[in-house]
Amino acid sequence: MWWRIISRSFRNRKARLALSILSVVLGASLVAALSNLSLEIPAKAGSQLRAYGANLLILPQVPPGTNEAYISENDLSFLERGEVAQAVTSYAPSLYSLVEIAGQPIVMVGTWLDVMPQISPWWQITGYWPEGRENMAEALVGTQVSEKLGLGLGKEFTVSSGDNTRRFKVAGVVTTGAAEDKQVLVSLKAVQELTVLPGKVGLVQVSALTQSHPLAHLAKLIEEGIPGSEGRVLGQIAKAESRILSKVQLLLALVAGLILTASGLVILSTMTTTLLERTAEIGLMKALGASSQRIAGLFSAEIGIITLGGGILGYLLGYILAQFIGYRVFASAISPHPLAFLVTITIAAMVTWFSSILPLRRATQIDPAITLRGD
Amino acid sequence: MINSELSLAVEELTKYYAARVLALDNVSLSVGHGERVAIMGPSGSGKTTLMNIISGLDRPSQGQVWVNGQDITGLTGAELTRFRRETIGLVFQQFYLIPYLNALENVMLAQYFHSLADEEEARQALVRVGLNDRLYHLPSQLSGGEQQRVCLARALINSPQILLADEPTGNLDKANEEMVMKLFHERHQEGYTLIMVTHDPDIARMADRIIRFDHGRVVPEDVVGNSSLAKPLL
Repeated sequence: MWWRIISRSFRNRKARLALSILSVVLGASLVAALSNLSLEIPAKAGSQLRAYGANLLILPQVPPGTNEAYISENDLSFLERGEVAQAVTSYAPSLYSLVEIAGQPIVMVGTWLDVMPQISPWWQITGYWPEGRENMAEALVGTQVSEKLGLGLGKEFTVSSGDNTRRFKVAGVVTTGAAEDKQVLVSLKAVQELTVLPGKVGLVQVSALTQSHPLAHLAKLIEEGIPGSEGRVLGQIAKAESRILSKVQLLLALVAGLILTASGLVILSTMTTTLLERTAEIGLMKALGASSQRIAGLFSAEIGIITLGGGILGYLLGYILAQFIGYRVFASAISPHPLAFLVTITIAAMVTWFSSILPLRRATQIDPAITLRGD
Repeated sequence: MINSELSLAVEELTKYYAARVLALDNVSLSVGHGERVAIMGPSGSGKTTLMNIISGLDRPSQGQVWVNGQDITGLTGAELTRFRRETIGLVFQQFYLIPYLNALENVMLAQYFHSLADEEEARQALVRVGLNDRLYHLPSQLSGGEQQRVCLARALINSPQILLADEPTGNLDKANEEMVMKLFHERHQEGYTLIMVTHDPDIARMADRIIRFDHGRVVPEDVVGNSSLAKPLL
């Protein structure tokens, strides 16, 4: 009988039911979209921000009384293990050396050229990236070096460092607007051989996640794990990253709050109107001996069904909305989060129930004698 | 001391509404088990107020009401609700059926609030009031007489001790009025105590006794003293 009353009641008020569910769907869909995005945004936004360069540097500690110090390339495997590996998304070791090309002193940088596109994706390359981490024959030439020495694409040139010389072919010309424009970039191994510093590294650029591992903590872990190293947080980028993330999350929370308030008011208005329309019905039920608890139970069940139906529909709609935003803003999909579903249903239920408390209370307080009075 | 033979006893009942409107003024009356009583009086004379208090829908300002020996004036709200569903059968002038439930479900609704809905029992109740071919019709698909018969089936489904009817034929034509009154007569023959508010002297004459109200008071000289004076229509 319980279900008959509820299902017949729904069938009798299809338009009002649709409006109630629609208002829950509206609120729930935005909560679902925002919660899915909130759970995904730190990673998405982090990777977007990290596209503007590494956020952590590893430098060798320079012992007192010496000018030069290096990190062992073998020790860098620490970055691929345990807790540190979870935070580090990519890293590129470098070795700098002042060499001579066509009689001109030029800074040559040896690095993992295969990783550099991830560390520095904004570099503009004419030509192509030299392939292979141990490529000993090809080089990227800074745009200013290319102009000054006439080193166009495909040209070959000789590099001298002390007694060692090596020939390279220009694979690409790089434009960064920074120091790289005046440098020549080759593989790390090539510079190590030219400078006779096998297995040595002068600097490591690290791109790391920030939302789960504070960079300062990560730097400390690296210092402990790589002998003779010093972790240095690139403060500007890290601060900008956390500042932007905080602002995005605050904005999302504010928008969600406003939308939920609006949805709550719509539900309150709909429930109040519904109960006013059903005053005689409630009065009759009470006259027939229905307790206030039973009346509240019937209406609560209706509210529960509206919440669940609206919540599930809202979540599906919100997930589609999150996907749309994900593709438009981050150019990638947003994964469905079970937590987002729970958050959506919970918040939809809280808003619906909170908005229904007053109308429900009025329903249970309806005086059947007044409602049914015919004298 | 209340006589246990009485189905209803009302003593010095007074009811004020807001702004000190006196609806019942020191009313005392009694109704025996199985008795059929008509309450008459002009609009605003306190008939419906009395019915509301007897049925536990309203509370008196002063005085006491005993139903089958139980003083209902001291009951809590929850106890009054229970009293209504277990002791009283109500029939209203405006029918008051749930518009989205069919005839059968409207009867089952009273069962549901009482204890458990029993579809077969509800079906039998409607068959007894001649609605075997209207079980699945919505109230809007039934005539006034048919709706009132559904209300009567609903009022009787939980075997109440007293049947209270407030102008049960007030919205019916003559043919339906006779049909409904015949059903009330049959229920009375089965032993139900029947208290009915009516404006219609012909309906009132069916009763064993007529109690007249005026300005919230019982008019003693208008009481028709015994069942022999009643002139049943049916």
